[in-house]
Amino acid sequence: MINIDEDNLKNGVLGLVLAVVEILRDALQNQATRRIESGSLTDEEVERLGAALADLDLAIEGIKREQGLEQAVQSVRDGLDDLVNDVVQRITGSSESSRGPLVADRREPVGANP
Amino acid sequence: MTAEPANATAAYENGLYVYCVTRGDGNRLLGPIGLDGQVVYTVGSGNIRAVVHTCQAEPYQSQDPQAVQGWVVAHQNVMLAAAEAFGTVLPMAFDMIVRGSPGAGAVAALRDWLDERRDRFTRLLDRLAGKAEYGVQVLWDRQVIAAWLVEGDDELHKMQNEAQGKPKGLAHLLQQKLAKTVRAAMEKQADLFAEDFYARIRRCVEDVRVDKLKKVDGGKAHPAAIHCGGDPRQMLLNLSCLMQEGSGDLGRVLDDIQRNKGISVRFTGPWPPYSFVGG
Amino acid sequence: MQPELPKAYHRATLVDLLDRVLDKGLFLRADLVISLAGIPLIGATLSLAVAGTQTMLKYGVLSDWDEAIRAVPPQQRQLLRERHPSGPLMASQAKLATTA
Repeated sequence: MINIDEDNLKNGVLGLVLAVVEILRDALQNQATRRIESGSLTDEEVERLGAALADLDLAIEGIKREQGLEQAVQSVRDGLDDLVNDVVQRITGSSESSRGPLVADRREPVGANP
Repeated sequence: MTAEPANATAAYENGLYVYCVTRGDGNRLLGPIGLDGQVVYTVGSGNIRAVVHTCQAEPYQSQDPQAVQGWVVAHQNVMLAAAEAFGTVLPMAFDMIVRGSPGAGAVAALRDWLDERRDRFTRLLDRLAGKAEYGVQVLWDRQVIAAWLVEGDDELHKMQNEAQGKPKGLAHLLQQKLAKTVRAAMEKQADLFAEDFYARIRRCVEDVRVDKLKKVDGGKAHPAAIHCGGDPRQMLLNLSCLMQEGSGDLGRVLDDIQRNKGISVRFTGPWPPYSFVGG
Repeated sequence: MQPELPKAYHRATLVDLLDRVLDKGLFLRADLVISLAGIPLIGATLSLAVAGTQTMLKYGVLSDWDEAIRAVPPQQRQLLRERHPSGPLMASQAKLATTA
């Protein structure tokens, strides 16, 4: 279930939008990495792609900081994770972490720097 | 607040809020220490009794954090008073209220419940005598651990150096790749630590329950926003341990565990054995 | 008899207590109980509000609360609304009622 808490409501839709943008950014990031590794881009293209993603990153972080939305966005993403996990669980009859009971549900912030 | 006679038969509209189950017979009065200052007393059957207060036949619910806090703390305090007065307690979950049915009061219903469960409760009381529950949470500092992993791994070290001095776009992509690889390494390391520490702890306590991991949030920002000053700590292990009160073995193991760089342990207790009464 | 405590002994927080009293302990049989196990009692916002603000001393004696780890409980908990006091029997008590 998506956690709509006070922060989300207060900031309206912006938190939701940013969460979606982040997820798209992560997907773009992954795709870019794969394309680079497959060698299908020129050096110049790689540089342009990387620079664009870097700028996108800065922009997203900037907005979150200015609007104080870091927690709200993370909440939405966590909620979406839970949602996806529920759906997967229902379909496959298993839970996201089949690694064992000790490490179930360790929440790894996606896209975060370690 | 008028005191309830210890052997009052509640009308069926009333409920009995149950705090815990203990050994003993006879009716005892613990005083106005219950939720909302209700008078706490015991209701027994044979040599097993429940610690209760009379209340309305509806659950305690509120949106007010202060109210809920007061209730929950009162619940725990009654538990402790009962432990002091009667010895080993089997704690009830919060808000367990027995209701009567038409023609039979809540007291009768509660006595039946105790009769039904007598053997099981007696076994539990025997098993848990002289023991207490302790909460053990093992945490790591993600930044410290990440640095430690990169330092100790040639591959990662190389990746980190590779990003130096490159143009902005390429540097960004290499950083992202490094971050992703480090995250995977951390995930693996977390599993290794969790299994190792669990095994060490398990060996020196009587029983363990594995609880859900919780988010650690020492600051205002979410742990993900470390660069905004959020708490870099993440929980690896969340355990409730059953142990003889006064045993020092666990302390030694936890000290050892904390010798690992970036690892810290949060230890609470003694608790009444909430986690070991089997729900 | 002083138990030998590990060096990192922490004062228990309200959240540590909530984790135990809400999810653990004995439950009554469904037909016996007014309050069914699993009925959500505390909202996530509520828990955030109480978390991290107070500490409980070893034997439950309330004193200064200090900030330990603030933990966010499972997101399944939902807010319930307050009820109004009802019933002549309990007029003297601050009973809270719920609307369905």
